[in-house]
Amino acid sequence: MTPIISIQNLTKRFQGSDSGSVLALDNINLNIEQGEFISLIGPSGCGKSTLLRVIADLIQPTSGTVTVNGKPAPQARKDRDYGMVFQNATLYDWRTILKNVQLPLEIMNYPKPERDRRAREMLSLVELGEFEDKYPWQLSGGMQQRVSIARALSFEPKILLMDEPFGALDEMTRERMNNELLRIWKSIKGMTVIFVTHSIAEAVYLSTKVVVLSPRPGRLSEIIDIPLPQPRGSATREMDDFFHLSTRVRNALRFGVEL
Amino acid sequence: MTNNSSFLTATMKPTSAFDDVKDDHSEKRLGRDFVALVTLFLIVVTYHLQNPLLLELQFGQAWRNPSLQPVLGVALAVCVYILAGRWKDLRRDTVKLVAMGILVVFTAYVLLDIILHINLLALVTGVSQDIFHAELSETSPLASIESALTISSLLEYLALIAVIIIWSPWKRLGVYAEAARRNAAPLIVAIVVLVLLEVLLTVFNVQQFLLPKPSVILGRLFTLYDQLITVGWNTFQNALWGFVWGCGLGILTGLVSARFTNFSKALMPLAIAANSVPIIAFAPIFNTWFGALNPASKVAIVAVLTYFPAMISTVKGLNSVDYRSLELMRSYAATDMEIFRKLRFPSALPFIFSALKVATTLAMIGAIVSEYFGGSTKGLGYRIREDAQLFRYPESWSAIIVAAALGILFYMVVSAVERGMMPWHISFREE
Repeated sequence: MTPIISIQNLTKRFQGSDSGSVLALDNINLNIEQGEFISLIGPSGCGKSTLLRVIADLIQPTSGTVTVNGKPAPQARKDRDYGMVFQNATLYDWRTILKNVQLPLEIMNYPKPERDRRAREMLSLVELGEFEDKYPWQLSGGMQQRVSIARALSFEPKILLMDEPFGALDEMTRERMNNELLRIWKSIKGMTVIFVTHSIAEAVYLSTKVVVLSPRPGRLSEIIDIPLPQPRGSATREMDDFFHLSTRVRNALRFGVEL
Repeated sequence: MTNNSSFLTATMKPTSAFDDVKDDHSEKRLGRDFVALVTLFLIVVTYHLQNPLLLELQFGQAWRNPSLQPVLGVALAVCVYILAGRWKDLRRDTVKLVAMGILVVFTAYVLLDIILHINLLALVTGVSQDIFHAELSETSPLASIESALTISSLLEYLALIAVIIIWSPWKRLGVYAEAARRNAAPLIVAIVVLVLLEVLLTVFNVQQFLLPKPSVILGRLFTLYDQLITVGWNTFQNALWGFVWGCGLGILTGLVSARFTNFSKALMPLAIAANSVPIIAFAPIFNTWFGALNPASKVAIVAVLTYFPAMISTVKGLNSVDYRSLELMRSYAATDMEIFRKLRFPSALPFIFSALKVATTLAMIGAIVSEYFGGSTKGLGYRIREDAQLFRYPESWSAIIVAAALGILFYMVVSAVERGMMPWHISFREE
């Protein structure tokens, strides 16, 4: 089976303003199969967000190739093959919740009844149906992030790219959002998720694979399979395997720093 | 496994109780009450405008101005539209629906009469249209228009009652008590200052040319209000058209120059420099260019005065977009035009409106001060200067009060439009 995302010999160098350049990503090779839930984890400055943005074609690589859904990344962006969720919800203040979810559908020229149907469907998927007429500031941070997930999923992309989506939430809300996300991922057949995080517990709990990156320059230090049984719940967090896998990720992170 | 999923739903259920949803307190604002009062006032004014018997009165004469009349009519229509609110809510309440119907009939009748000079009641009762729209003379057939006037005054009273029913102020006494409590301090200060001024000016027998007593100024305001409305409206029109031209062109060039970054880089420093020039100093020059008696000289100075703030704020607003919001748009492969329409322009709106609000004040200053250097004798600025030169200080002060009232009204209208266009903005969120 061909991978849905394939990254070969990817290097990204940022041109500094005066003192030369910074090597953000150094020779990354990574294949991601369809339907997987991949977490990118690493200390700050390891280039995990940069890697996600290169996949999304929001940043152009210095060298190497990125294939998304069988085509070059820029083409995949133009074909709207992925949905993106940012760390802050980036909802537009001047749009109601329903209108925010409809934003990508408007840009993609869906007819109005279809926009309404899909947006309502997505809002009920994230269990915010009754808030469709509210404005973003009337919702809590966790609810706003759920709206942004609904927005990213509204046009049924095959791939969901998430850049530390729950980083700004408190621990309790974050765990609830993790369960939400798993439920959504399960309910959409064959959806691939790439999830940037700096939380070990979150990465292990959510993922089928954890990709560990090391900083300066950003390198791929280890890919760890997470064979914890599905579906996952609070019992998962108490399994022995959960601790073992967390320790493995932690060691890989430490190893990366020492290099 | 079943255990697991039931746990999941159990943890997800209490979300709405867990996350507090902030309510909006729009019911506590007094905007609607203000609109209701303005509507009552406009009904009375417009009724006077269509009743030939009342045109002789000072109150009827005061508003009789070919360019002011349509504005009053349209203002009435806008107020009625705002009072109507949402059709969904209106439909449920039969009494309000009927009241609204009466109000709409009155508004339509008055608009037709004021703007198109067609009096429907004259049509119905078979009276000639001329009688309704010309000065009455000794020979006017008063008896024949009496029935039409009876119906129209009946309609006026019904419309006034309808507004009060729709407004239902008795249901909002709590809100008023709360508002009175909140605004008690400034109100008391204002009253104390006025009373103190009156007492001190009387006790120390201060000459009128230094500072007239508030009661004297107020008295002049009541005797002269018909003239002051006319001159105020003339000057306000200059301010308004200057504002429209200046801000319109300012926003337009702002939009264009933000689209072409090189253009805006070349233009912005010049615009900022020009903005710090005291442009009002050019007023005498503009008088020479366009002619002191030509309103264009006033409109032009106001336009130049308001152009730069509008343009600078527009460019700033368009460029103040959060980079993540831009990334989001790029992830949808949105075109530049879509990014502009759906992201840049809405995020620039708060900047544009704050410039427009500043521009209302600038426009009034420009229109009034430029008249100090010569202009139509029917202008507010001319009037203030002339009265002061002729030692008619109370008259001068009453004209200044009209100028202040017009400035505040202008600002309030722009604020209301702002609130209507961007109710989502942070400054309108009330905790």
